[in-house]
Amino acid sequence: MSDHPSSRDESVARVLAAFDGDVDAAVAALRQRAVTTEGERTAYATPAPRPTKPARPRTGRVIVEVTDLRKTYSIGRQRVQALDGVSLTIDEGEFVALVGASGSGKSTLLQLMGGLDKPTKGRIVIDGADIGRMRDGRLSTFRNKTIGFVFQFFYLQPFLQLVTNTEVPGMFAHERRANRRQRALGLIDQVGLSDRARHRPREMSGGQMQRAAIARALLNQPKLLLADEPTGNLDSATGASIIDLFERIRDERGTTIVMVTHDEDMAARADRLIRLRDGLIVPDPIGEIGGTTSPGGVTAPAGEGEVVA
Amino acid sequence: MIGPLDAITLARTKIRSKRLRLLITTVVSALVFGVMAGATVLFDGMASSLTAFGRQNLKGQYLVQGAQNPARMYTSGPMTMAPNDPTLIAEVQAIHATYVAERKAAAKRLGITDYDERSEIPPVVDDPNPGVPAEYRRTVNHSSVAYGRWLKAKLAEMPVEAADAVAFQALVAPYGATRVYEARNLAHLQLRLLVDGKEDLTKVTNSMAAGPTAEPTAQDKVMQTALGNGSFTVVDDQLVQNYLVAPNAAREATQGVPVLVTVEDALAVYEKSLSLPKRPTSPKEQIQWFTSVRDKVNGATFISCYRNAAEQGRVEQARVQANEKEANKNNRDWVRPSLELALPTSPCGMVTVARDVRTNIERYAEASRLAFDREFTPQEEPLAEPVTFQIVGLLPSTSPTLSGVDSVLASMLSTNFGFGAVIPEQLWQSLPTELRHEALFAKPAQVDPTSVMWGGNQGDTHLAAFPTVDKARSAVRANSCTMNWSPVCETMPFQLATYGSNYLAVDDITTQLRPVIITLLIITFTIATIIIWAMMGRVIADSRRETAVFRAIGAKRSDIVAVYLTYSLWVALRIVAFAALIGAAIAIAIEVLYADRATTIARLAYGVFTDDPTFTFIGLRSPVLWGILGGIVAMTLVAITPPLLRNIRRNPIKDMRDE
Repeated sequence: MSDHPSSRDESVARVLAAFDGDVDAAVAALRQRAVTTEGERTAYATPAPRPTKPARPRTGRVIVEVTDLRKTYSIGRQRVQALDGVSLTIDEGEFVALVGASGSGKSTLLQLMGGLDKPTKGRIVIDGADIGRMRDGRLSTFRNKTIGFVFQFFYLQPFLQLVTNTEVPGMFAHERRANRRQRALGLIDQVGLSDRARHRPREMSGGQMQRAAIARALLNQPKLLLADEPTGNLDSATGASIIDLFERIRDERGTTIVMVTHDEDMAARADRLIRLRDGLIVPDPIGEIGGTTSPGGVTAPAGEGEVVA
Repeated sequence: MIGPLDAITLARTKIRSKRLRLLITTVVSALVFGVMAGATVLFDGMASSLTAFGRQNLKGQYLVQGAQNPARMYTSGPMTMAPNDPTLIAEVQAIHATYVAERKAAAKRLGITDYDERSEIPPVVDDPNPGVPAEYRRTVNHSSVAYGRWLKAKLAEMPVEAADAVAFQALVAPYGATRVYEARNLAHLQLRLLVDGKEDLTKVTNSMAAGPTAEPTAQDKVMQTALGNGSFTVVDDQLVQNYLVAPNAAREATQGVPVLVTVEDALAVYEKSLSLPKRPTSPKEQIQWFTSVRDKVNGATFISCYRNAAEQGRVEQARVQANEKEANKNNRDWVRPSLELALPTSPCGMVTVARDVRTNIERYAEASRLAFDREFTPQEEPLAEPVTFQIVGLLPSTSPTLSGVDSVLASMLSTNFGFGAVIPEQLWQSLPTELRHEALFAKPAQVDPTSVMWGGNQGDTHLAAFPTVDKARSAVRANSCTMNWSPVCETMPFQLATYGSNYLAVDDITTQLRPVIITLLIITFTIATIIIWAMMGRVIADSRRETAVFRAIGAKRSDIVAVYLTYSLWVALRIVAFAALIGAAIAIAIEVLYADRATTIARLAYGVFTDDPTFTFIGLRSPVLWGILGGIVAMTLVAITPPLLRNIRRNPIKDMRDE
């Protein structure tokens, strides 16, 4: 933090503003969330990029609600606690970045939010639906309609044209070809690839492929877009353009975006940053606090008194 | 579930990946199945063609012949008794004693004083070989009169159903036979061809005319033909109507017994006298050659000589005497027989008495012996009768001198309407009495049961006509043991087989090859399933990430199943298409190379000289063909099922994380 004194000052100012200038209340809140574990002290010591854009007010309409989420994997005889009691809420139209070191559980959290895996314990409610209770078929339909996925390696069908690639979620939605094609072409236009609609992935650059993947993710107009390291395979300029695109999507469509990233600069572009470490959400220093958790997993209401970056 | 067109769209992307592996799998599978499909097409084509020619040949009838079941003779009735059976020996000895008593009484009555019962064939023989166990040394003598009498008496007690036309009709009627015919073999008449109007009686028999080792002369060759040695069969006109020719100028006047001869016999007998053209080597020219030969021999006549047993005995006696006379011409001690016979000097003439210096006593003794013989064996007057035949048609070659593929085709497409020359019965019956030789060619009123026992009435064949191949086939299959012998076979009164043409040739081949074909199919399908299973398993394993992505973007398990099933169906259809192409290529190649030749050979064999039908090797109606093609689809679906089930049970997130 010491690397960014000006950012720290601005954050302090924002915290004070959030508490209507009540310094004591702000400090009390901060202290309450300040964790005394060794890990958290380390987190304090981790430098984080300072958000550079103005804060966006949260809508208050929760679209993702995660409560005491735990996930344990077995690798051989070893059990790995990927998530150890995570709770958070994400509002509709919010752009949230999940950051953390490798193995911190951020991708696991994303995948559980996407209903691709079942939690060991805890509850995930997406758009009012408890996806942990859904049967596989219904969950697939739900995922198809409500959630869009963007992957680090794009995962486009190599032998399909861009327009057909974009249509794939519509195929699983049993939608009429003409309708979905029209929408796919519109999305391709929106992501700036209208001249590439008939091209195949191998004829496109990495950034173009990721834009195509985003177009595909948006075909069924999902409320939630989950992006797993979307810029991880791109150079910084192209990565920044993808973040631009996310922002535009959020602004124009009101789509909630949850992005896992290692790239602090990209994460800093998000409305909110949630940092995970060892399967826990760690409270960030001023200006970077996302969801809340206690070492024992006792959760304080997210958003309540949060400092929004 | 995902729509079929979308499933195809996504499945096609898999076809484009792993192209080499897919190509190798497709080509290997398609080659194996293609060869099978091709063979099936060929078999079906040949079967259809044979059926079509067979239909034309006998105007929609399919003939089945019933021959007495030889096995049955030895498994039931008197023939089953062992020759050392004490009861049999006792019974035959008793009959012999009665027979000798009858003979003695007759000799006494006729004044024959030198009758010696030891001259009779003994009813029982004793084997002097000490190596033979005692119980087997004494056996009944099958050549003895006593055993003949015993056998005849026993057979008279048995129903003679085996050779009974009524029994044959009863056998075939349930299978849908519409008519029963009979093919009557006349070989026992021993009709002997007069070559150039001459008769050569210096040789013993027709079949031995050339002697066992001597190089046959041209005349010997003629005598070895059906015309030469009297191999005639009387059949219904309908059975040979395709080979009958319309009367020409040479047949304005009916001159003899109508006969159809084989083209080889026509060449052997008439090649020089009628300037018959040589047989061409090319099958294509054979129809023209055949019709040319047929037109030239139409109406030609030949004469054969019939001699009854008594006259043949006299011929033999005259020949022996002539040989003795020649051998003793310088022997002064040789005493000439008092009765000398002379071989006939005119064609088909009777043996004449050359010298008769017998005393009255000798004449009396001879007369007494004749009377004595007549008491026990029917005696006939010597008879020699020339029979004029007139050719009214030409039969195809029974053993075509073709080579290579043509000979294979010819053996499959051969026809056979009896042995040698054929006399059409209705045409023969329409002859004037003086040309008909009723006594020779008419069906005998009675059949000796002993001759039935020993192989039927000298090869007479019962024939049944069926309106369809299927009915004929079912009759043959139920009453034939040529393919699979079992104890049931021994109880069958008749052994049935196709007659006239080989319309079931392909069926027979298929029946013989069925176990091999089934084994091959099982092995092929198993190997192909394993290969495709491995390939599918690999493709699915390689597509785990893709499956995970599809699941992430909303695909249900059923959608994934639909995509992969579409993919496997696509692979299967490619294999089917390639297999069909290969099969078609094989069949078309064979068709192009051999269909014309086969048509020619079939036309000759079946006597069908119209443009229709033609022989084709291409047949698409076999259920086996469609079974193979459908089996490929089923096999591919079976092959993909286990890896697919494993795949959809996997956790997509694990696959994604592994990636």
